[in-house]
Amino acid sequence: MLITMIIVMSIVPMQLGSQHAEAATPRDCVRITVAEELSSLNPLVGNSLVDWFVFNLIYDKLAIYGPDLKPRPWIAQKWDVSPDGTMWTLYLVRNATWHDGEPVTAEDVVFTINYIKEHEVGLWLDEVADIESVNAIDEYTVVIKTTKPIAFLDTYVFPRLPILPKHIWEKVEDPIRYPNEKPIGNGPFILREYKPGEYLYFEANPDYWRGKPYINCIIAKIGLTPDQAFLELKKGDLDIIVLPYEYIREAEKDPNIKVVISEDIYFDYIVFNTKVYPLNLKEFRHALAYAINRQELVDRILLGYGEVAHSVIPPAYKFWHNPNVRKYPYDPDKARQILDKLGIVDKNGDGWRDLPNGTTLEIEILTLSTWPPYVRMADMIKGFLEDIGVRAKVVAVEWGEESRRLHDRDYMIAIWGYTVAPEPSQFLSLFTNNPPPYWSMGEWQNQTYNDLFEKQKRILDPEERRKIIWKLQEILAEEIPILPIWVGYVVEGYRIDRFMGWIPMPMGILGIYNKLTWLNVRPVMPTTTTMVKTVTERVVTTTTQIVKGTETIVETVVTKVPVVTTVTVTPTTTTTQPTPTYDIIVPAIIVLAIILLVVLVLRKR
Amino acid sequence: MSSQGMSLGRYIARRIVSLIIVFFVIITINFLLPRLMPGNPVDYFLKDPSITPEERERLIQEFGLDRDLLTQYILYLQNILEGDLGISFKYYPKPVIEVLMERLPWTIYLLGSSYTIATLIGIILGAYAGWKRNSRFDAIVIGFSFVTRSMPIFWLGMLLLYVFAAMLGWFPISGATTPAAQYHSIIEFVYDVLWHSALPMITIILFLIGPPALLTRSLVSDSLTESYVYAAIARGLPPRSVLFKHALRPVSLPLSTYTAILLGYVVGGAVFTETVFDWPGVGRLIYEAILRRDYPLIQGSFLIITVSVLLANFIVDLIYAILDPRVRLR
Repeated sequence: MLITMIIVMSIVPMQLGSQHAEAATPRDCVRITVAEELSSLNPLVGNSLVDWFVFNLIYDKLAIYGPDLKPRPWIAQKWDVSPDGTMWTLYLVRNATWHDGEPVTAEDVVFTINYIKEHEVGLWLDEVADIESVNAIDEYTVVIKTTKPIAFLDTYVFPRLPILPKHIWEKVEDPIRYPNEKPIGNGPFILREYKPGEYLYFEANPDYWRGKPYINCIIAKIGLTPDQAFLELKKGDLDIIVLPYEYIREAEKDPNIKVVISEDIYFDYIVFNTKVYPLNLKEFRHALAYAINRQELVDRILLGYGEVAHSVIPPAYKFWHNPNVRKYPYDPDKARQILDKLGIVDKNGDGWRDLPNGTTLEIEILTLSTWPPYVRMADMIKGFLEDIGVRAKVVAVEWGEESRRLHDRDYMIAIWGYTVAPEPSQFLSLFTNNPPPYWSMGEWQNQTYNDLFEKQKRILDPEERRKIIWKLQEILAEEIPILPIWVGYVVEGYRIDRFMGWIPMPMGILGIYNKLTWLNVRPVMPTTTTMVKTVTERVVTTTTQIVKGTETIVETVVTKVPVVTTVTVTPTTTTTQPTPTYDIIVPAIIVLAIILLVVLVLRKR
Repeated sequence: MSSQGMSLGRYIARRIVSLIIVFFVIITINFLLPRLMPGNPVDYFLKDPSITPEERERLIQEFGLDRDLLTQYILYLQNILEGDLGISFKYYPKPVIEVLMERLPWTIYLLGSSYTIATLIGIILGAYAGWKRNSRFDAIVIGFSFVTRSMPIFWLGMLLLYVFAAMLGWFPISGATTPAAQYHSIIEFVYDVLWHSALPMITIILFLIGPPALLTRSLVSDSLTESYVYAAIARGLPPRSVLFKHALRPVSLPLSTYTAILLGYVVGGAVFTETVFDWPGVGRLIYEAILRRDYPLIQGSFLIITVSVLLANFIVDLIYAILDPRVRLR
């Protein structure tokens, strides 16, 4: 016990060291959980989903993705492009400040881009590679010159590239190894405290350029399992969580919890190694696509919370997604016909189809052993292939081994997934003849595709570019180097008794690009009297002007904002909060079983 | 005639030598294991776009991953002796030792205190059960020990969590402290930690109580037939004195050896318990590191844990020497 006390005492000083501003008490905080530990607080290095989530709260970028995932002005309140498409002029807002009070100026933007180039910061090098020079015209105007027109500058770079405070980072010699423990950002929240393995504590930035957020603080507990998170949500220790599909029905029964379903920009697919016979035959790939009942995969594995994917750009990208690509509805007869036509028939009468040269065809399905949905998907696909007479085998390996085999092109069919960035060419580039060395998209090569891809990179008019992006999706759907399986839904549950005004967006309310939700969420009401709430939705129309080249595009965004009307009811007796219901039967049975066991042991003696 | 000091000194020296040998065996296994697994650790670096080619080269050089196994091994030994466990992949560029040190106090606190409490309670319960052999109390202790010992620890933890934290709401569901709490005094902090650690501690205590209780019971009931116990009873000593001073004392030797082995046993339970209760210790760190294939961190955590168990065993060995009258009184 003495040892225990000594150890406790040794932890004390580091705990007492943290003192918060008196204004905010943790009780007012929005409490969430992040799935895992932060990997870095340095925005030039951190690249996990949790890192992005944290940076989204701390840092404001030049542009922002709206609820429709289209970029719109933010720190840069307006920008225009020269007619030849190589000179961008950005006009920054004038009232933005860093968390230490220094103004956010054009110098910071210039510094950041030059700093990334100078120190060759790996994560961001591609984004700034074609930028020839960047200059500050005055305190709030930046001019970016590019070597050639770059289409993704405003759709991909402005909303994602961090802006760093020059006065802090100019002293940093090695940006890769800089821990950035007390990040000075320009965003709506300030990171006040970070306890590894425990929690992150953010306070609202009182001097935020768009006004202080409605909530005072956010507590993000680190690493709760989905089960713990759900129990805490029911108990009222968390305000919003991502719900595992299994818990949705139970959450819907709870009067304090509202369930929201959002689309996702992540999708799962199977990749065919097109360097291996017979997978190199387009018709053979078509046959496999017809043979797989993807709707059943969605229904059985995702419990219906998702949809079959047809294009490689998820439907959440309303603007870029091509809904008219070739689809492969489940049709095993058609699959059999194609195989017969290819001469892949059962020659030796063992019930399995053989290759024209007489050897038995066997398809190996590579999948991740550590991710149960993939294992189940592989098993079901094996069944579908066997239905059309194709012998199949599932090889489940751990993450490192699957990455290695994809990297070494040592596979036939592999199951994998990808989060498609808001700029479609980022994912589409993986199918060109110059993909990153560590990534395999089936080794498929197509000159038309490459030419079209190169062409769209230089087209700045979104409508014009969309035509090509759609065409690229059509080619991929026809050639299927990868077969998209599904896009799952993001399901979130939040408590309605403490906060309101959450804004859903693709990837969810807690998605890494969703900043607007944190600026809109607010406490329900002080809970001194009982209130009857009616939640309605108000439609807010925002018009944004984007000057692009010679033309001005007027964008109208329609956002639904929940309006809560509260009627105060004089407390009659006691305020009764609906108590959460717990399933008492299971623990009761367990306790009884234990008692029974003990009794049995007692009796035996 | 060797004096007591000489003998004790030689005993300790022998233990230290064997400690060093075991230590080397462990770090060698620790070195070989990840290299026997499929896939090259560097592949994970290759796939991380946040690391530049130069940085990657630097790391490959630093770890000597481009050289043969023997050179790598020598480099690895050198690094360990310098206290350098490498750089975590996940928390890059944070050194592994730094990541571990943030978590280690929590694990030592949780495991240390519940282990101490569990063995003490276990021994006392077992001693009384052995003293009152075949009584109702004895039966209850045996039944209780068998039941708790047979339950998987994560399951036991989840059960306690569900009943006492979720349903009854007496204890928090996760964490070691109240997030962002302001403590006005150390008392408040200690109270907060005790409140948060109650359930994980009870889980480990329940899990650990059985083995020492059962062992003590059988050892004590055996020693009750020894002549020195009869002699003590015959001298009219009070029962408690007979039990603790005469019956229990000679069996404290096998007991202390056994409890030291138990310490290795509890570490395995730590990973589960810390994960179930979201406790910010090394156990959960291992779980996270395995999920993210963070080889340096996995290796570092295993090393830290094996070294702590080794040291704890060493300390028990020393206690053994002090307890053992044949060493002490010669």
